[in-house]
Amino acid sequence: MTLLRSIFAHPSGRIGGTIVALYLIIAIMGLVGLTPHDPLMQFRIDRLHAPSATYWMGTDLLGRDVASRLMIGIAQSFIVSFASVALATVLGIVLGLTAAWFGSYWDGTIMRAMDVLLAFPAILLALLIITIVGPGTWTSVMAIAFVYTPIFTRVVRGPALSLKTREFVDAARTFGSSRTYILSRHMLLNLVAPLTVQVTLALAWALLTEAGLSFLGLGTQPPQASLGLMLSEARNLMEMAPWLLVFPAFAIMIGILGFNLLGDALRDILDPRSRGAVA
Amino acid sequence: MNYLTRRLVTFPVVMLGVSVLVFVSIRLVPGDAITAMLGTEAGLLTPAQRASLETYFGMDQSWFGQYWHWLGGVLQGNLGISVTYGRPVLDVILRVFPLTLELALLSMIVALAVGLPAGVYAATHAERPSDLIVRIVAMVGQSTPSFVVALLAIYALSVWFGVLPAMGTFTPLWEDPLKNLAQMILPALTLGFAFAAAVTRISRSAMLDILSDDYIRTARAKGVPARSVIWHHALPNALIPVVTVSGVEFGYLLGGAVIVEQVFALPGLGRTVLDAILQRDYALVQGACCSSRLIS
Amino acid sequence: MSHLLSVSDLHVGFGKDPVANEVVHGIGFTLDPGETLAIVGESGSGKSVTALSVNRLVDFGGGKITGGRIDFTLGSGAVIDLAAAPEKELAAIRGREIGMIFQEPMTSLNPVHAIGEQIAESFRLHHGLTGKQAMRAAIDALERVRIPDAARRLKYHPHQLSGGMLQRVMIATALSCNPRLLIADEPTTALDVTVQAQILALLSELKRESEMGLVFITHDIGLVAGIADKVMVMQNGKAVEQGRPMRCSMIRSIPIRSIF
Repeated sequence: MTLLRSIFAHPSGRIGGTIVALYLIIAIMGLVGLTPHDPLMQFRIDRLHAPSATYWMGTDLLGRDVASRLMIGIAQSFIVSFASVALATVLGIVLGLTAAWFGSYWDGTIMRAMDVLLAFPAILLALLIITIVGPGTWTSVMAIAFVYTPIFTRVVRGPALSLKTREFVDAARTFGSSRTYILSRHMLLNLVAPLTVQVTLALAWALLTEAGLSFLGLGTQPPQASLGLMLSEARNLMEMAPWLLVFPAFAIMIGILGFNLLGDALRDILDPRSRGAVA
Repeated sequence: MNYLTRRLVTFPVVMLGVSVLVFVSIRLVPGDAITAMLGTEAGLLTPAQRASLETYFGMDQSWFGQYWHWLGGVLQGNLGISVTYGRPVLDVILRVFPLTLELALLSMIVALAVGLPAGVYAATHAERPSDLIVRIVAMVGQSTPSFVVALLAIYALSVWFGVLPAMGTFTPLWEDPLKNLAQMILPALTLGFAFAAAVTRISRSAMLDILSDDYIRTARAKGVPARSVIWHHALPNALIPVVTVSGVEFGYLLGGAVIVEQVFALPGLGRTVLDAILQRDYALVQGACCSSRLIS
Repeated sequence: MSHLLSVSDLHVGFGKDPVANEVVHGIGFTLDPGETLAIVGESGSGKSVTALSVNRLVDFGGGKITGGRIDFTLGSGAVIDLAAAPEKELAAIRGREIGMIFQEPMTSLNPVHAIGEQIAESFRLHHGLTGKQAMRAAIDALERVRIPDAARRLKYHPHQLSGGMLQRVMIATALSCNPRLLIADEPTTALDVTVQAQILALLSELKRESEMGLVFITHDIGLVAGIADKVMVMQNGKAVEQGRPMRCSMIRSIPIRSIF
């Protein structure tokens, strides 16, 4: 509650939080079918119809309602981003905590492996994974999770290393607390603040990567809608039907902006030391 | 310095890891290169023809044998033969690489030329409306995927100015610099846009930190005029983090090049890798991934 | 005749509402040429803010002068109110008429420029010297603060010198244009005790060579008796006591430490 209040008190938190909340509502409405039209329904007579009272954002080449597709597209992008970031966070926590705790060879092996993964441009790594498994929604989830796991591992390992030597951890050991208890209770809880910031920012990147993959035709497959896919479909029609380009383009931009703003605000609120620090 | 030596020491290990990862993962891809190359005609190959092709591309050996063979070749400067191009991989890479490098460098120039002054301006006008505007633009820039920028730019150009970006056959820089730059300017602006946003944010926060440092107060106490305080005393110090981050981000620029090259149909390294993955051109993917790693 | 510096009813505040957040409440003092005024007080008493207000560098840290006059007699004999002077005139006075040295010599010099360059800058700014002449003058300035092997040290960067050496460089910079007033804001606090003594000795020697006025800020009351002609004791943004050092009850109450 206090966190919500401080987010609202922070100027960029207010804007970012509002955007994210709005997108969440839109995504949920899209998922439960509260769209103006059936997003897959093809209104053959009204193909490439300009925005109007019936079709708020016009229709595409197959006569499908752009507004409805945008709604489920946002839902789709959100599902992929949330799932992949959740996966990356869990993997990152497990790898980072154990690397910091056990140290030595285990630490070395994990961190070198993460270096290898980080060595790739994100999109290339995702591409590699997708070609192995074949394109699709859950492949993108895996690919994006894979790309961002090293970042979470680093975010966890750094502070965990310094937490490990703190007195309260030593104290917990002398009490005879179990390893799992210390790791979850004393280490993980102290990492919640940096992780929250990282998760929010990673959601922005994940949206960006998901859009890129779908745009290249390697993410969500037609006839499903996703923002990147809608843009790639709009590519050759943009002079004839600019609404196909403009609405999804701004939907992506504003959505990512929302998470970035929220992430910045959270960083200011949760980690006062890094105020105005390097992005 | 410490960071650099550490990087140099771990570099061979990381490179080896990268090559193994790429090697294993592309061989996990279903389908084989000969089918991908010849399409339906592959069905017409006699077993003997197929076997000789497999021998030619080294596909009859075990994975370990293939990797060992490949590694041995790399150390002699031989990256193998590309199935799709029918030419040595090194040749293919060297042909497409200059374009990507040019694209990345141009984008970097765009980013620094826009981002640095914008960041300095925002820092010296901190918390004023103009600072807020710069920060908002930078935030939007960082939140926009490069292909969205590309599409919006193409759309704006064609609708408002009636011009289409000079696509068509790509002209290398050394053949016709002007024509080349005309083709490269939009991709470079597109790729540079997000990067410029990052540079703006970094230089703003670096400048803000430095403007409150003691030696800036000393300069003021000496009677140095405000403009000179900013450009001569503060900026050289602010450049240090900006350059560091730019170096790191240069690698990401190469990744971003994959999408931008795709949108603008530029025959660069990114597009080649993408095609190679889709064509299952093992040797080319391997060579291209490792060489893109090598420079970033 | 007019004083070199005459501050009256000075009010300084910070933040968005400097009147409400006032930290200096109506300070006044005078200083004549060749005189040393020591401003002493505990941390947060407003002594540094008062000192920084004199050449209006207080706005650097977000402060603002909200009231009072700071009358300064220029070399030309004209009197100017520094509290109201435009920034442009101030830039010409800073460094030329009023020199300043700070507490932390380590951070007060620009890490990316060689020290010679930083001293020469003053000569270029205020005396219009160029290239070689300015460097020549910088060598003289370094020799004046007793830095041996000045010509070679000119090319050093700050991180290559010790704290004591850096403070000498700062003094050389501050004195390069023979200012009529030197403000020293806790110049010895960050230094070792032996180096402190050297720097203090140097300052008083240099002062004897010229007719410069010195405002010396310190929280080390033991230093005051040795160097000051006048003392102002500050507490909570007010001058609680002013006078000659030996008449100040606070100073009389503590044992005098020999510093030279």
